[in-house]
Amino acid sequence: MKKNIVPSGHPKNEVAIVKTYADTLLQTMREPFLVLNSSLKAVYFNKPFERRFRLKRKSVIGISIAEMGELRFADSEFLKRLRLVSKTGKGFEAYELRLKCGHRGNCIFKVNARGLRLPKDALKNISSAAVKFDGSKFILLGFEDISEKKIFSEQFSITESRFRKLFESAKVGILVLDALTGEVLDVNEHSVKMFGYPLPEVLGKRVWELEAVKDVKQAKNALKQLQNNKIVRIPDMPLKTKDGRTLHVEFASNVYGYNHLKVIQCQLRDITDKLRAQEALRISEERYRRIFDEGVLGMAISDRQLHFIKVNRRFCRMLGYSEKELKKRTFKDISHPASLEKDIRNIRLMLDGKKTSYQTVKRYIRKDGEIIWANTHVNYIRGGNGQSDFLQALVEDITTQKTAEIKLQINAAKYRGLYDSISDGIVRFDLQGKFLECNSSFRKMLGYSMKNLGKLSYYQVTSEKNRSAQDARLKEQVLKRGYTNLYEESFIKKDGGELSCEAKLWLTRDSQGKPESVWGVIRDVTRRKMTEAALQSSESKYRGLYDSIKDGIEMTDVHGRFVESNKAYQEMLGYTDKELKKMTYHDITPEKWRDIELDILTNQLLKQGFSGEYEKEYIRKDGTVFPVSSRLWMIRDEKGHPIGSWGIVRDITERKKIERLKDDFASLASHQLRTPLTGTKWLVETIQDGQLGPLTQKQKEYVDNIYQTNERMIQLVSDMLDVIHLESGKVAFAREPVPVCEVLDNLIVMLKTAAEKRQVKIVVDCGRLHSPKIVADSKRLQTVLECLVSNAIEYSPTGKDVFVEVVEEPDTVSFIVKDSGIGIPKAEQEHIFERFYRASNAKSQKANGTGLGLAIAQMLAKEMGGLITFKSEEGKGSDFILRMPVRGRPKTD
Amino acid sequence: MKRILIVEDEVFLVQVLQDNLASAGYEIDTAQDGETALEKLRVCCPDLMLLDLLIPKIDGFHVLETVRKDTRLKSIPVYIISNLSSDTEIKRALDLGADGYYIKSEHPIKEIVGIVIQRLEKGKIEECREPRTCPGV
Repeated sequence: MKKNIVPSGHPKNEVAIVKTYADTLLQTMREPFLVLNSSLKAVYFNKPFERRFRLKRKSVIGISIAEMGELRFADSEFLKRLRLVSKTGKGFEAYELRLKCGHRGNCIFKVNARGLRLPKDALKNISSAAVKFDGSKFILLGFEDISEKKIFSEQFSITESRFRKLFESAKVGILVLDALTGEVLDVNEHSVKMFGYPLPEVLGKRVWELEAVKDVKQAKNALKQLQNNKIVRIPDMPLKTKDGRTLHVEFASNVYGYNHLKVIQCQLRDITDKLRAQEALRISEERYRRIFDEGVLGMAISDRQLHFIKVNRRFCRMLGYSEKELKKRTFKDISHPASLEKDIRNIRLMLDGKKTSYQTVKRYIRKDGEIIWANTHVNYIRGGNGQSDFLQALVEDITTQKTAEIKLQINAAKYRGLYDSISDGIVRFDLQGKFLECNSSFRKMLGYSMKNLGKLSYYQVTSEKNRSAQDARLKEQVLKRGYTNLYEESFIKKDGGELSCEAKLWLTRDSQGKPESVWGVIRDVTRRKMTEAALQSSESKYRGLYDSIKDGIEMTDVHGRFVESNKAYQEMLGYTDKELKKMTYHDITPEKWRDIELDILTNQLLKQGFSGEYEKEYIRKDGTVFPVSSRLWMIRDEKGHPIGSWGIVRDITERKKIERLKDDFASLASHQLRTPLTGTKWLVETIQDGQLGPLTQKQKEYVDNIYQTNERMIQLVSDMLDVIHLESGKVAFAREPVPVCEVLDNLIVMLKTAAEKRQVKIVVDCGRLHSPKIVADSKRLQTVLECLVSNAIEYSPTGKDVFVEVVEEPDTVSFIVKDSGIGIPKAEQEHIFERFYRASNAKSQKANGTGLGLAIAQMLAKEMGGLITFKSEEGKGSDFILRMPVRGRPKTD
Repeated sequence: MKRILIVEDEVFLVQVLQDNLASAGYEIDTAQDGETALEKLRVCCPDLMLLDLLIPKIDGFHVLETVRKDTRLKSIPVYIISNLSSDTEIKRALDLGADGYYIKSEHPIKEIVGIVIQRLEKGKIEECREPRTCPGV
């Protein structure tokens, strides 16, 4: 074998030596190893070192440790120690070396150093090169990376101290257990205090072995869960204390740590008091609920806005609503408006915090509208705990008491009022007749004062003659029966006058039942007697009239049945009083009048209490029908309800006959009289026309006269017919708005020829701009105006104008017709509206006037609600004024 | 030549009417009661009729009604000449279809003639419902 001689002191050689020697040994090591020579230069390193420090060979071998990678951060102390090792050969153990580790921050190594001397013959197995090796001193360094452990333990001690602080100062009990075994590792001060078991009795025991634990199974289960990394929470765990009490705790525990370092931490919160409080609350709530649900009082809870939140059954029944219905309502909805003002005031004080309660007696309105009285006590209760405040009302129904109270008050007042105000005398006297008490009416009746009456007896104020009757009455009725019948008694007033009375007496007894005194009610009937007498006399007067009058008087009830009728009525119909009382007026009225009568009943009788005079027919007992005119009046009772009607009925057969005659005459006249007049008219016209040959002057004169006379007759017949028609009242007058100025315009057209004949102009002044309208019959109005204007034309001198002026006033329109004609003599002025009257000077002006014109005009005017007046002076002219109401003739005429 | 039927029961009135209308150039036929009037109408057909109301046998109202219901006769102008003057009677006649109503005693014979001429020569005059104001000649 070739022997390498390795010169000492050459690193390369040293490396080789150590490498060879060390490789087999050191490569099997897991820890990083480094070998330094005496000058602290690296000569060997193992793979773990390479890996750990991430150094390549060239950065290690021959490099001083002080300059090697991370190791250059080694502190000086470390290097000193190393040099010492090199010198002395003595190593060191467990040197903590802190190095900067790049991204990891600090690395901490536990370094063991060993001096290493290689024996001379260590090189025996190495290469052939002869090496003079005196055995160098080497340092063998072993590195144990304790970075994590260190950091961990540092952090642990921080946490540990924090934990410790908490542990000891906590107001909850804390237990630390070994997760694996369940043994108690630690308990804090508070736990000891809570349970009273000293530390030695607890530590080391398994948790379920503790005396405190009542439920062993529960404890074991909890442990199992915790071991499975679950959190365990037991809201109520009962535990025993040393002195035998039971504590309730809220148990919470969790597990932390890893592998063999797992611990279980338990927290125990004493909830005994909390539980006790909860129980107390539950009991009080239960009590409250009982009172609320089953109590005798109505209870209601509302929010600050007075909405009902909760109501008890009694309250619901009191008010007649269901709970649901009440919850939709407020306190205001069920309170009587009269009580509401006071309530609101008080509630406001409570809401503002100025009061905590108030009490009142008030009224509520039930669902069915009835009113109840209730004693109400309202409290304001603070919610606390974030809950809102509310109002609680206790309501006691006192309706029956209240109603009774009110009734009693009323009765008392009534009775008091009655005793004093009753017009009857109330009196009490003893069994000897001496007056004991009486009311003011009795005193007034007799005219005595209280003092004087007190000295008198019943016998002293009544006549001697009645003595025996009085005694009998006392014995037979008062004492035996206890009361008397109504009897008549004459009292003697203070002034000596007599008082006729009706009386009734009652007996009163004392507590043992012995007769004690007599009560009496005395009624003054003198006035009544007088009234009765007066009534009788007037009654007979009336009776006389009733029976002798010629018109029929009848009275029917609401059904039309005859209640009463006078002789004339009975005779009119041919029935007796008895027979009539079985009949109704329907029975004696022909069918065709039913509707008209019904109309009169509803529109006149019922509405205004009476009817106007209306015509109808009656059927006599013998079946004949005759015309009557009737007028009815309503009869009502004290309350105003109709109870019947009475009427006056007149047989108008004669009147009707006359009317018919008049009508017949009218139509007769119109035809029979006019026909010959027409004949004459036309025949004469034909002659005048010259159709039968020429006439001499004298013949013409005579023929003209015949014509004029005939015309007069025709006019007379016409006028008379008008008068008859108007008088019969059967003429219908229209009621419509008539444009006044148009009527006048028409009139002018109509009278044009007549005016031209006399060379008279008609000047019309129809007022201001607008044409006034009046309610009237336009045809008739025209007739009236025609009469006035044609008169004006007729009696005017030729060439002189006639003026028509229209004057408007608030309620009337006046037509003033002015002429400057012959006028009317003063003495005759009062007659000109009379029928057939012609003024003396008129006849000379116009031969053939009828004297009916103005009479008819005035009748027409009046029929329309107007009137014709005039101003006239003979020889100067006349002003005729027609005044018409704007709104027409009043309907109620 | 146009033909006029005069229905009137008073002889002297018929006389006057006939004379006046004939001299105006019309052919005249007369009837003195309603029955004769209807007979004459059946033969047909006058150009105009003057009709009184109070006539024997069948009164003027019925004659008028019949005329207006007959298709051949309904367009014949009929003027009522009567002395009945109540509003009801006038209304009744006009409602039944009379072309005019004249109260004899109030109109000169000439006026009557004029109306007839106007109607026959110049056609229908304004409808006349107010007898006293009916247009004259």
